[in-house]
Amino acid sequence: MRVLLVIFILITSVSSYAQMTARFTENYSEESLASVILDLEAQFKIKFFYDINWIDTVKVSDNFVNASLDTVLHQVFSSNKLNYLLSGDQVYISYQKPIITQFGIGKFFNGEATYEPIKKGLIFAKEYQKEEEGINQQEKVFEVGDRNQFTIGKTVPIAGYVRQEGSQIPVEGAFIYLESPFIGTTTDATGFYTLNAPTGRHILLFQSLEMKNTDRTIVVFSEGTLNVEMEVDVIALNEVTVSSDRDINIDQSQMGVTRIGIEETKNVPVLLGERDIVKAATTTSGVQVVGEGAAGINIRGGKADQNLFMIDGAPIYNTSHFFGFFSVFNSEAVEGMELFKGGIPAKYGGRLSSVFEVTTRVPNKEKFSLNGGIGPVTSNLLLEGPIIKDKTSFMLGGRATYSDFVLKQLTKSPFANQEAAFYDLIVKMDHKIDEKNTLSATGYYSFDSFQLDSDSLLGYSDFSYTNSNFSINWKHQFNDIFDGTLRFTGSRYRYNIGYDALATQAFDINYDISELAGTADFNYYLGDKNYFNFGMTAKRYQVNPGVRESLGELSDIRYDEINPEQGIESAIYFSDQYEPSKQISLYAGLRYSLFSNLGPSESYQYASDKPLSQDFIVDTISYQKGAPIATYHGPEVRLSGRFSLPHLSSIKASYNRSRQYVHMLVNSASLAPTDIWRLSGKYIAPQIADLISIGYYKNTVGSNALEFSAEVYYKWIQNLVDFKVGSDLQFNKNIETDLLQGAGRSYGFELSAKKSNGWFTGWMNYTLSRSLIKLDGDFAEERVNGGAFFRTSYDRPHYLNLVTNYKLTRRYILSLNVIYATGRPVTYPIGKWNYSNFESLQYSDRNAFRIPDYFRIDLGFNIEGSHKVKKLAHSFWTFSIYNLTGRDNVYSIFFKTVDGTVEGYKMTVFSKMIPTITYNFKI
Amino acid sequence: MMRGNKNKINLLILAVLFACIEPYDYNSIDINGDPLLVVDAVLTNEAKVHNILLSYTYGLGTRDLTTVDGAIVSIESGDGNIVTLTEWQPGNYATASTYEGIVGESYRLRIKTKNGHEYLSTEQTLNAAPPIDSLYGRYLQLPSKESGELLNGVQLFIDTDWSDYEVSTFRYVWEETYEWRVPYASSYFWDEKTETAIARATTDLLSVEKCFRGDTSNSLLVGSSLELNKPKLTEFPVHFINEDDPNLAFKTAVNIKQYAVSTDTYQYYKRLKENNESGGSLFDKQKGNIVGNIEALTDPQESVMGNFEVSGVSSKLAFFESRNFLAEGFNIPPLFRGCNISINGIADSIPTSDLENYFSSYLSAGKGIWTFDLALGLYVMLPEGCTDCRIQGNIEVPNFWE
Repeated sequence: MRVLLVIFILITSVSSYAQMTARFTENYSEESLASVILDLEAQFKIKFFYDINWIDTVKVSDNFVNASLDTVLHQVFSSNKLNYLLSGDQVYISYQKPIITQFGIGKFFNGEATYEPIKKGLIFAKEYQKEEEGINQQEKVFEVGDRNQFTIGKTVPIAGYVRQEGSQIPVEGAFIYLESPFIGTTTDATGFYTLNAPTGRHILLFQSLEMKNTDRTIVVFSEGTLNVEMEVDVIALNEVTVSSDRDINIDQSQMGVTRIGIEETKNVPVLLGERDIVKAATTTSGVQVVGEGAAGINIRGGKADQNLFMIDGAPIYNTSHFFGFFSVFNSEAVEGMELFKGGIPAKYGGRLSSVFEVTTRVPNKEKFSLNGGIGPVTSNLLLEGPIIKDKTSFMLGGRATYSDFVLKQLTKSPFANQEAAFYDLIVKMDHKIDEKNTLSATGYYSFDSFQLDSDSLLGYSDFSYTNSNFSINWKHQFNDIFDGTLRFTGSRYRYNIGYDALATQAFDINYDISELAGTADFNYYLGDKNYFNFGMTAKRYQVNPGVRESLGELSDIRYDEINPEQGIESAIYFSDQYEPSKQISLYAGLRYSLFSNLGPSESYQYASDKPLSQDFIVDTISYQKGAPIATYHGPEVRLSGRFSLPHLSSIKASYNRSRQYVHMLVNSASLAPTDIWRLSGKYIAPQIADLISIGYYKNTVGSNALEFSAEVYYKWIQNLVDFKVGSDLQFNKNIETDLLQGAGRSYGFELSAKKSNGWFTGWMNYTLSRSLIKLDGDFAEERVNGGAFFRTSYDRPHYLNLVTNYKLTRRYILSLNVIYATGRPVTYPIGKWNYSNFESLQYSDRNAFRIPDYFRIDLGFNIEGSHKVKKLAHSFWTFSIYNLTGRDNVYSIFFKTVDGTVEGYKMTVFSKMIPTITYNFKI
Repeated sequence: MMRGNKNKINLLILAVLFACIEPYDYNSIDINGDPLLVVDAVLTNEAKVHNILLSYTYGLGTRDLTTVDGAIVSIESGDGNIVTLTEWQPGNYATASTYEGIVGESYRLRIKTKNGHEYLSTEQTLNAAPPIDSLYGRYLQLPSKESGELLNGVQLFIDTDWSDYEVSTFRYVWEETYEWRVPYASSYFWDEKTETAIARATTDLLSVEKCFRGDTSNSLLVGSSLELNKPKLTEFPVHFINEDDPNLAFKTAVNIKQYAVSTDTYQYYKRLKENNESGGSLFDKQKGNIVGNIEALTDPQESVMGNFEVSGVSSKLAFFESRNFLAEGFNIPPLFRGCNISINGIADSIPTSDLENYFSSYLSAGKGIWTFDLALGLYVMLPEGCTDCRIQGNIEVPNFWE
């Protein structure tokens, strides 16, 4: 919608004699308004002022006989959205909005001479003032809706977009609220918001992480729109960062939702100068990592493959660069991230534990800009700008490493004598078709490669992998209460591992998974109590689990491949966010998903009374192209509710069921670049999780306001995937013979406190959690630890995170971060045995021991430049020390037989403190 | 205001990274598991005493092998023949010296322990082993598995072709016998009976300069053609001789034995090898007990370590001399640094008259007579390790030595 037309007019006392006396006779049938206006201008000697766009489609059918000017104008303009104002010999036409001409309660010149007095805080015309007079937006009064439809005491939806002033880039995650009654909402990725507000006058407040807070005085007449532009806050001070979430904490009905803006990563320790949104997420409660530099995140006792990472809606299969030290998301191109770890909305599916929805920035629609960054490990460059000003814009970004330099510093480590390289590219186009249609397209590509000693990792020496993704989104707004998005996405993850230590046995193995998906998603706001979200999605998978080729002329390796897999996953979903009263908010969603593993395929049939083993293959069954090999389907119920308590507190509860049809086969604690995604099929049942959580939220008010939350959860998982000891997952044609599936149990208690205001800000999370698995097959070789529940390799009962910022002055900010975690479980040797001429180890039950606890303190010191707004460049220095105490945090303890004798080793990744100095500036 | 250009420059990098691997004293793990039965049993087509060793797993901090005594061990062949082994030493059960496995026959191993537990292996067929076509060495550099530093030495390879054989999975064992020489070969020895120094030239032991030492492989080495396009292994590395080691200072004989093992025995070895020898990356595999082909009949929950291997065997012997690799850059290792007589204190010069006192005192401990200096009339004493090869070697010339 256009900026509200505000006209301030002084009524002149001069009235035209001609218009007083003239009469008008004419018969119109489907005549264009423009020609009617010409007739009137001639007859009454008056002048019309209007925008031709408003009237070019308006037709007039009327019969006038000796009509007065008033009568004619009334007749012509009463039946459409146009309003008029007769002032002297001039007629001003406005579109949709009435024109106010008088101080005080006045007569509205839209034909309705009568006016119901509005009791509460209705505006007066004197409050409409011209921008030219130096009055800023905050001092103006904005009307929402149609004054004609005004009803006292009704609550109506208002909606609109929040954008950055100038660039028109949407502001995501802005918090918009009325103070009294307290009603709040946040904007989505496109900057869109809706809010149910009582009619009447209000002050609507806007807060965002990166924007300056603003407010608008509004008068709500009926359902309508209000678009707002916010000014970029050059230095996002922490109080802004945190207070944006403040009352969402207690007010939102969803639980376990974390929103992280890219600016927020500034508060979190930087390793090697690289800001990382995924690493920032790991400082929030319930998000754990296996170890320093390890890839993979465990959410609430979930496995690392149970997280859905998306960039603009397209999944990313491998989210790590450089072994796992960095995430693949280029922080220059990213706007923010939303993490759902419980209460996952019905529109998301396919993974059990969490959704990481990463959104890229909307490129600048007004002018070109080039952003660059040089870090100790990576450099990046981002170009953005308009193609058609204010309509179409693009962004092109890239990032690359010179990590070889870093690796050279890593002596006496598993990375010594090795090479690693990575880069990623992102391209985005955003096109505003018209007021109601937006089209955007994102493309993403990442590449990693590294070499290791052939014996240090599963016998391979060369690794490389790529992610390539695209997503095309068309958003259409049907009207103020109904919008839809059509999305088409594709993702491909490929890797190549090679072995070339022996020329005669040199080979490489290629792995490839790709998916293509189409989604239609709709939002419908019914009154002020119901918000519906519904849609459907269909996805096709293609997996090539392995193609082995010989490498080099001398190689004797035979070409071979594992049967490709195909699958279709589809789902329909419907959800309602229902707010019967201020106290209660309920969310109910249902997703029904269906998965089919399809031919062509050759599948082994095993003896039914024997363990799955190559020795007991009884038959091979061929499936034709498109024939279903195995089909799974089921409902996924998503429920959550919030009940507000007095004194800014609330309780919430949620229940969540999710189903997962693709599984990553992981044989190590950390994700490896050789991990394989496989589809559910005849021998791999879908993983199903049920999560129940209950939480209590309490905010205090005042200058030292605090937010507290406490959540408990319990998660049941069916068919968690695990493996027999020693199984080789790579290029395994009978993977089912090495695979085990069993029940999982996770439960925990998360406490967090957050302080957003004052000279001291920060947050602290403590999580007490357990994660267990039971592998109890029918045969001895299918049982682990006697078929009883045992802890998973990512079970870390105590996890404490502290992120604090001390603002010494406005320019000097000290930050201190503390992380403590229980050591992860490992399997230790508990005995030795002799065989042939060497010692071997007798191992304990799986994961019976733990490595020592993890503890780390990081210190950061920011020196901001002066806070003058009109300065050429805004800059700040960051000094950071990673692992301040230089603690030797053990990553792993392992045992090897060296020269026939068992030796024990411990490995640490960062055993010293790592200082970094960074200079940042913005122009 | 516009969102401005944003630049980030890291002006100063003080990243001192030091990821490292250090020894870890596993004796601190003081929990010991229940002892499990360990079966070390190989039956081949060689006519010899086949010894089967039964033991229990033992604590990490201890060195004593606990043997399984008093068990009844028998090998059952497919034709119904049962051979019961005799315990000739605690835990060691042996066949008659002429016992040999027959190619094409299948065997299984049955064990009954004193406590009444019974164990049985799966049936294993004995397959003939193809000959090893060639065994050869090449001087090259290899990164160390432990430290990653580059090692120089001679890598030995084999070529083997089994087009006409049934098996394609093998275990390899190397046995190395190398010449060992002392720099100051003793010319005299002290005879306690006569209390005189006797010249060796007058006895059977003409020289104690040259002996032989041996090494055998102490880790699993397996190979297969499962992934190859032809039934042969070419340039398959079997043994690496570091040039810093004394093995190739003079001449060495390496015998490679090739055992044609079954596919599941091969898989077992491969997994055991990985379990024993991998570790230290960010992506270490899940460790645990690798179970072989022996099942516990009495208590199916009980795990048995080890495996019953039934295999045909072939071997190849080859000699290597350091001089053959000099052209490629081989450096003969500086041996006997400790024998440098210019270093004060290692040599004692004793006049003939004092010999008796000398040899009856503690001063002579670990010393031997190198030579007699006629000009000075003194016997020169040196550490025995520098004068007598038998201290660190075996003077018997192996029967295969050329």
